[in-house]
Amino acid sequence: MFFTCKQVSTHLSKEDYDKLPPFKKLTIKFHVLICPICGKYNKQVMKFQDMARTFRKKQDDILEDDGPNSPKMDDDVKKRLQEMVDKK
Amino acid sequence: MSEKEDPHKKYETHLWVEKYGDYLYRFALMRLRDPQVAEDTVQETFLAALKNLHQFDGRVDVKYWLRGILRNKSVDYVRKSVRRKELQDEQVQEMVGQLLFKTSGIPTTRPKDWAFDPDAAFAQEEFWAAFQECLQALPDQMRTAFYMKMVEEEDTEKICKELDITDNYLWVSLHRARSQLKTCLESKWSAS
Repeated sequence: MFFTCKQVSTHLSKEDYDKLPPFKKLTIKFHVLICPICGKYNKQVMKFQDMARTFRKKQDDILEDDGPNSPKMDDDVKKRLQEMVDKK
Repeated sequence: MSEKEDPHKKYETHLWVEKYGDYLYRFALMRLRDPQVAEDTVQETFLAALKNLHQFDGRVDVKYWLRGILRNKSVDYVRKSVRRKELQDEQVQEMVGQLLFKTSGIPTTRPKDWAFDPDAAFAQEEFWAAFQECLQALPDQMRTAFYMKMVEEEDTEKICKELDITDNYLWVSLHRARSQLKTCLESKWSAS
């Protein structure tokens, strides 16, 4: 029913809390909300999980972005790579 | 061998540089920061892919296959290039020794509140540019550990094996990565 601080930390160090079953997720959220010991710390760990999860979804768009502000390989390097690939 | 069976033709290897070069370069740059290292790692990736093309079964897109090879090469690079550990064993021991309860993963010092509202920031595109900059500013091993654990969601055991570090070392690395990221984000984001 209730988690100890240690159990909360263990869950959070294993995986994204968002992936836990609904009841576990809720129990953890409740724990960090009221816990004077681990609440502050684990709330921040969870916020970083939120951040990483959001970034994970954006990553593909960032990599696919071929716009003028997006990093590109040097033309000379591309030429060299092309020669290398063609040789094979 | 007929044209259909030649994997170079089948998977259009002559178009790889044009089609995937920049994509892979951006991935390598994200992970490795240094443009020269990123270029070299992309080159190694193409070489390895051409060499192992006969093993590719075409079940995933060529792009993702290449990206998988690049990801492994990037991790290899970090494992090999970090000659002097970013954290000394004593630092790791000290940090672990200071945990609130043994193995609880809760440091005795409490973190400061965010200087900005994270949820509001997540909704803004500019925040993610700052996030990438701050991630790049982390030392190689710390950044790689963060990507593996937080973005790729790999399990601890696999990360420790791939980076050749201990559980405690990983835990302290991630702890430091978070606190450095937070400081960096606060300086870049709160000021704007």
